[in-house]
Amino acid sequence: MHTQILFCPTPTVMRPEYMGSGFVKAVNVMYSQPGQEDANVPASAIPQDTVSGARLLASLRHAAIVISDHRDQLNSLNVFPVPDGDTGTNMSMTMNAAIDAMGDEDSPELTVDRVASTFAFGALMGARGNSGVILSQILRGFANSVEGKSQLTAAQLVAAINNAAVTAYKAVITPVEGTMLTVMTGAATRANSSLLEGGGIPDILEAAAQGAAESLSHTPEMLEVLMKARVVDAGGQGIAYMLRAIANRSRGDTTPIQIGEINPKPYIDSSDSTGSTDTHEGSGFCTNFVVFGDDLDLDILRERFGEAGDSAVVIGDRTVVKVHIHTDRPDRVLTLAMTFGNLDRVSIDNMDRQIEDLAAQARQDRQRSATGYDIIAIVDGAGLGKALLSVGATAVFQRGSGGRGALHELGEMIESAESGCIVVLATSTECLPEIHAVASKSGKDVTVVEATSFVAALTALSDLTLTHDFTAAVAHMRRTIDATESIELVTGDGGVNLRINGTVRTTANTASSALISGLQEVAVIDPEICTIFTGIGAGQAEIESVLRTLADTYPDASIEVVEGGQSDSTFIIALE
Amino acid sequence: MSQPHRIAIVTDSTSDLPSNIRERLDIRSVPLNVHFGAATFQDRIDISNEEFLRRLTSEPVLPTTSQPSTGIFEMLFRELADSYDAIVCVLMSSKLSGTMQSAHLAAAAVAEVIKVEVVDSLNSSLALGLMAVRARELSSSGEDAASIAQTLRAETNSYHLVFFAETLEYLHRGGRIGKAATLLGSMLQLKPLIRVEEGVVIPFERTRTRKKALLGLEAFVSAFASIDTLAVLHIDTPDDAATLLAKIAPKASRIDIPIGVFGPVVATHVGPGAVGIVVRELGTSS
Repeated sequence: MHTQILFCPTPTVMRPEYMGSGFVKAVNVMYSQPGQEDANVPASAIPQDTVSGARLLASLRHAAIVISDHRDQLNSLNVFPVPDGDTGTNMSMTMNAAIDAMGDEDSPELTVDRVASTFAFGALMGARGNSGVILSQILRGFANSVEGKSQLTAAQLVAAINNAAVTAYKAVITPVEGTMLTVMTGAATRANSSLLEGGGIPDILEAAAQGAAESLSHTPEMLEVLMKARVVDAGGQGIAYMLRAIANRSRGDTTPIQIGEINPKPYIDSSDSTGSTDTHEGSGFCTNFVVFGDDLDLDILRERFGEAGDSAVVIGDRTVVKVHIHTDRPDRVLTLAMTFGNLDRVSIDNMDRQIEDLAAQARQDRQRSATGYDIIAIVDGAGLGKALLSVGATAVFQRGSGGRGALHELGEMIESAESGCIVVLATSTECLPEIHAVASKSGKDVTVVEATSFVAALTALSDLTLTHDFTAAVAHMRRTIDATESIELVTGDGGVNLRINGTVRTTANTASSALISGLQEVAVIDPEICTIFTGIGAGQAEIESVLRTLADTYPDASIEVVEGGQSDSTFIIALE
Repeated sequence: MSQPHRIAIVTDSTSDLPSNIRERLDIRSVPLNVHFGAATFQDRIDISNEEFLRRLTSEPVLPTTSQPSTGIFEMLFRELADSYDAIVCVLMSSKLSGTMQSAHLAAAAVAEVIKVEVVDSLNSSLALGLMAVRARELSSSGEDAASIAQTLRAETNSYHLVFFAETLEYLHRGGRIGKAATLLGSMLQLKPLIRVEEGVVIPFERTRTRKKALLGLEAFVSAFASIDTLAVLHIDTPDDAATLLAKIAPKASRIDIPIGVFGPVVATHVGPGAVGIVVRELGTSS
């Protein structure tokens, strides 16, 4: 029985932006398969190297077990499309639903068609989550391809693997590279090559498993969120496990699969917190481009580019090829590429800088206010500074006790801030003239907002809507400051001073009695949160007595103690 | 028209529409799933709000949620094909859930049998619910499926869902925290005001207390020039919801569904104590 293969090139993985103008080739697979006549051929006449229904069933069952075994690990890798940590559970449950659909069927006469279609149906109904749905489409694609067949030849198996990849692509509204789709395609690509080299079924399955693992290791380069989290794609890893399980089993090997078997170049296993496992020494450039030509030979391209750098990924077809490669000499790589055809979409990134940039971007995202102005708060106390950052300050300047001289650094902070509009938020009456002087010297549009106390500043910031514009923000903050009352307790030689809105009102023997006077005067009704900011020198016993006083006065409030680190008061009490 | 055009309206369980409204308007709802450990419940079908809340607050492991399978949509579409001529299916934001994905596949599978228009609400909860109600209104006035879908898509910007959570933990664990992730790890506790915009979660006010958060919701409503309808949502704080409703009700032209409850799937992601508002503006379209 001969199998004519017209051709079977790699499925082309293309994102729209890599296309030349005018055409979109989602996937391009051509294959031919023998007719349906083999469905009735007696078992003895079928070559040994075929996939029977029973063999397919056993393989899929084994794959399901392996996915379950690795469920927790897959969950921990899950960051795309949403980081909800359930890829492992979803793929596992989808496979289990598929297995349940088979029930106890185990007859040696089972056809491949029956197994595949039953599995596909079970997965379709029981698909869980995004990865489950894609997996169910992979199974459906496989099933569609083997419809009517009782056994599969090597070529038919390869055709089915290709169709599984194609169908998976069609399943996703917006196909994204760096996911299960890429991994499945990688598997199909290598399976195709193996078939062309005359491989039998175990070779093909082995190639598919290797292709999947290879593509998987590149997924962080294709999907920024994976790179940021320093993980490979969870769904892709699941596919890689299943294919590895099936490949091993076809050689009679059912030993447990280790993570290292799947990732030839592992990025971070998410349980590894020791840092970068980047395998590049020294600098290197991540170089990407597309080559347009006639009659491009992928194997030759792979060989040549493979010699020119590391981690070369070459995918495409005879007219459009996408290349991704790490090299110290991007100029040489591009020159080489130009000998094959026309270049497009060239991008070259300094890989060491990339990591730094990602970190800086994350910092900036955290601190940047949404509206195009910066708020620089002036405080005395590390913890106080952090608290203000929590509620919206974009930067904090520590004035230190009596640090008038250091105010020029405030000027530098203003200049290096992102926006042209700056609010300088003073949190006490210290150094105000100097602050104003620094502000007016700046070429930027700087407004000083004077909060009479830290609590006033805290309240003003936390009341700010993230969408206030600059002018509205300043006005709003000033109004809030006027309406806020603050309590500070200062322990000294003569007892404990109670300061309200910056002025000493009374002196008491203990912190808690000073506080009680303060609470009466300020008369806040029913605060939800009481926050105690402790300064340098606040003793443990004192802290506890202040805590108890607040708890007794406001039994329904939640009370937080924050180490403020301020030097000009022992306790700052915020009531909200 | 020679023959009445019967249109089925389908949505998902996160629409939080009261069941009597759904029955009266003939709006079908496909349930998402809530998972407590290995046990799976269909949202609003297998588990009541009370039972869900009890488990949410007492079980050591948080529940998770998942989209309906393609098969469930397919089965419903085929069933509807017997008595309807076309289906308009409006669902929760594709950026927050794979529900749209499942529906698309099902629609493709039944394409020969019945026409299904799948619309991404880019929203959830009662904002989605109000869109489903709108779809029924449009079909009652004679619009066909394609035209209804087109109108809904053009109007997605008029629906606003705003809420605050007692803590960001639930959004964080469920993976839908979106841009509010920048507020995690803040030194001081926050109950930020959050809205769903263009399908994703975005914080817009860093409130610290529940009282201020409720005031913030009120202020949000005041900012609209003209409101067609609105609703207040809560999980287990009906008094707060009623108080808030009394303050904002006068701003709307009409109120069909005054108070709704965040169903189990939404509650899994926002947590107990959350309160929200849904507004449909008048007179805007994208």
